[in-house]
Amino acid sequence: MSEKNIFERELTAEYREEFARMLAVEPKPVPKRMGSILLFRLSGRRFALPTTVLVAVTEPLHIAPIPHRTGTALLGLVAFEGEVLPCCALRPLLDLQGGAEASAKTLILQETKGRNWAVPVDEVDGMRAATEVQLAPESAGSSSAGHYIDEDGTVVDLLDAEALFKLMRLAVA
Amino acid sequence: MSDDFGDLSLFDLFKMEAEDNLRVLQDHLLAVERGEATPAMLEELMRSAHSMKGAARIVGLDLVVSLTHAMEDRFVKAQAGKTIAHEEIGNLLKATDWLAGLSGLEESGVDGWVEANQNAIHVLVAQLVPVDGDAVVESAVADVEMPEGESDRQASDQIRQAEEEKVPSAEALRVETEHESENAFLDAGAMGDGGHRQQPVRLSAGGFDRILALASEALVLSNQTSAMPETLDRNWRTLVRITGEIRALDAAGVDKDGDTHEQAVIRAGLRADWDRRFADFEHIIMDLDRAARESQLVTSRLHTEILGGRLRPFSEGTAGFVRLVRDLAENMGKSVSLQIEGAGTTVDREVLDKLKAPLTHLLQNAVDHALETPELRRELNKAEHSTLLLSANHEHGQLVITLRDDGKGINREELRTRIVDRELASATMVSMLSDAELLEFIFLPGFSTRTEVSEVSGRGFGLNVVQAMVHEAGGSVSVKSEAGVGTTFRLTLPVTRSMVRTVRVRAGSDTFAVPLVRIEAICVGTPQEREGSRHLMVEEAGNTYPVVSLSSLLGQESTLRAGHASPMLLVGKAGGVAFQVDKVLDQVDLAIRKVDPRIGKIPGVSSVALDENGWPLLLLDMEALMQTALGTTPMSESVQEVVRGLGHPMAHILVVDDSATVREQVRRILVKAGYRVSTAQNGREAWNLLRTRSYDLLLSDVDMPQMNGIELVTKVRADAVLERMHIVLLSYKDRPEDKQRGLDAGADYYLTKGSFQNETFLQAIVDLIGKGEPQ
Repeated sequence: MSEKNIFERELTAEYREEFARMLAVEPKPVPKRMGSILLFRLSGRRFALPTTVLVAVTEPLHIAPIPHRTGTALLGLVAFEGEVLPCCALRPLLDLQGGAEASAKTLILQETKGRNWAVPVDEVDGMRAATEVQLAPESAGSSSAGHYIDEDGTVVDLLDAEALFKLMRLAVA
Repeated sequence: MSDDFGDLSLFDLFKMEAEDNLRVLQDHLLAVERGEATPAMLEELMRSAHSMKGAARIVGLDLVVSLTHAMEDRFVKAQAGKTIAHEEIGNLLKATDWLAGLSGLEESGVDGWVEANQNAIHVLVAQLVPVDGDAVVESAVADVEMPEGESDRQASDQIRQAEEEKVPSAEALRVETEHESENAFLDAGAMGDGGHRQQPVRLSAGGFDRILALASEALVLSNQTSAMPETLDRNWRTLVRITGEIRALDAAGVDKDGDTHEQAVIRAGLRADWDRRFADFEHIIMDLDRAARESQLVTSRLHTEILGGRLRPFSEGTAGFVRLVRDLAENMGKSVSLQIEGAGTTVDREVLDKLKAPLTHLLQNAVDHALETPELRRELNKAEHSTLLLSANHEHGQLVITLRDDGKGINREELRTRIVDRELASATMVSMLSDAELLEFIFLPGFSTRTEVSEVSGRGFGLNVVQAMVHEAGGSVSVKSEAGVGTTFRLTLPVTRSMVRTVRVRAGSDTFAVPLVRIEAICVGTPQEREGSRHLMVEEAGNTYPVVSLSSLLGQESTLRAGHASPMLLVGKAGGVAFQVDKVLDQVDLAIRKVDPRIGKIPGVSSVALDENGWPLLLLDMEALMQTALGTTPMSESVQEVVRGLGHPMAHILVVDDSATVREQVRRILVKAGYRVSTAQNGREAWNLLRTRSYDLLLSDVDMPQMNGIELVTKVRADAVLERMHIVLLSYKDRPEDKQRGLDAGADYYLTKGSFQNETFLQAIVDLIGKGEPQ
């Protein structure tokens, strides 16, 4: 019965106030674990992609242009490990300004098994184990899945890989 | 390596095939006996028995055909739910033992084996044949729950399907010719694709050993060279250190002559170290040079060995032809025999597959059209018996197949009359055509000199389909004919479709490869303007060719100028085009592969390959480029002029849409752009039109009643006659997945209906069939 007495005892005003104060405090946001991401730069902006879609980061690959397709997001065909892949420019897909200067690296991204894409980028910053993520407001058709805040405090656009692949498919067909 | 297969007799091949099938029969029968049967297992048993039956039929082992047929029949019944009783399993195993005994014999012992065992096998066959109304023992296949009639029907459908796929009877070959879906030339070559890629490749034990030995050699070489970068790096770092130390000595103001003893020792030590490392470098370079040469040699031999695995004797593709000719001739009251020469000539197995349909067409045409009845031949003082000679041989690295008949030849007067009757040209113009130009008409779509349709020919799509199929296999076809003496068709094809010999050219800023088989000649020509011609013209080897800039066809700026000499590729003989290029680079053998389907149709490009640097290189589709350049199918200039004059081949487009408004809108746009347009309200109506009339392009909506656009495209691509038709899908649906679905079905373009408003729509049409001719 002593337990009953404890739970049913009259609460003091201080206790109620203390409890109210505790409840009034907004809890810290729970970090959303995103796994690892690859950070890269394009047209002066920073982007990230989940490493689950990353096959390799290579030196720039020779691009064989495709007749009648110049000026589109499809830059041409590249060869990577004996396979011929479509090479797609991200700038027009992400509405980025800036010319097509020589890219420093090429990302090989895997949409599904046996369906890879080559994507030239300006610079690769490396990979991070991302935990702190602020989701951006949902916007239909956006290729952004949210933002990642890097160690130096800069905000990086976390790209939605699936949406990106859709954009690329549409752009090259 | 290829000789290994060339040396194999059909009986050897039967034995090789029997090995796998016997293993399946033995293992699965024992599993059935153990009560572990599954529908898949019964299916495999049925297929194995069926395969052995087909193989036995080819080698003429009728006794084995009846035995395997009885086995197959029993398995079909089992699939329908009639469980195989224990004693029946014993009989089936006994049958398997007979087959195993046969497959262990040399060919010389087969007759003796048949004679010794035929009575016992007949008894066994009688025991295997299930009697109707047999009591069904408890079902060993618990999960087979199909109505009796349905399952029987399915089983017989499977058999029929298997018959059509496997048994090269005359009837089957005829059916195949008309309905077989000829996969696009490169489909089977695509990495990871289905079709031929799923077929096992047989290698002789010797061939396999050689490949293994070469692979081991390559591994050893690879191991040797893998250590070299580290050694080079170590030497390099040492040299850098020594150089630094020498510079430090020099910087300290100590020159060689003023060295103290200690410094002299240091300098001498550095020099000795330098010399040693330098010598190491020389050795490593020599080792690298040797390894590179050996590696090249080993890789080349390995490639040749593996390539040999794809090569089969020509005779494998001709099985059933003799029977086909015999049956057709008998039906038509003719006396004809087919002789095959060069049966051992090696051909890529996929080229061989592709050849079956065009050769069947040619044989049917020969028996039906070309060869006379014995009575007529007697009147003409010819031997009553007609002979068809099919021969295969290698010439200059190409496979050349000829089919020669000793029939009446192509009657030029009949041909001229037919051309005039069909309003393809006026009588005056026809009388001016050269013999070679006249013969080109027999390859025009829908052209036939026959006035009536027979069972096997006269439908008007024979020779143009033959030509198209041979082109798709990477080859070309020509004809020679002498009235009263006979006709010879000559097919020139690559020996293997894995490797294509190409000429690399520079067009604009890019490099492309052109299949050598497509090029008649390479020259430097000076194009000139000619009155009445919309093209610049060049004369070469007695022929006049319209000149077209390759770079402009490929979407780049043209460097073609009248009066300026340029390198040119002459493609096609009298009816060809001179493609002006910026530079002819070299000749190279390339391993080709399909262009990624995500990219869709690339006008003028057939495939892609990797060059010696491992860079992608596009192979050009010269037929398509000729069509785009001329706005019509390749024909000689005079024939084109004739046809253009009559306005006949104005590109004809079939527009399919269930909306009358859209149909009319599209029709107006296309007519204005200079195309001839017909319309259909749905896929079914379009399908009926496509099979009865000739169109250059199909433009279809996706969502339609009765048969939708995707179904229509799929049907067209699966049809042997229509499969190469240009197709554009037009839809309001613009989601990527909708677009992908259309392209996956086989459309060349998938456009949204909004594209009417911009030039995308007409550009797609122009890319595929060339510009229209606005009135």
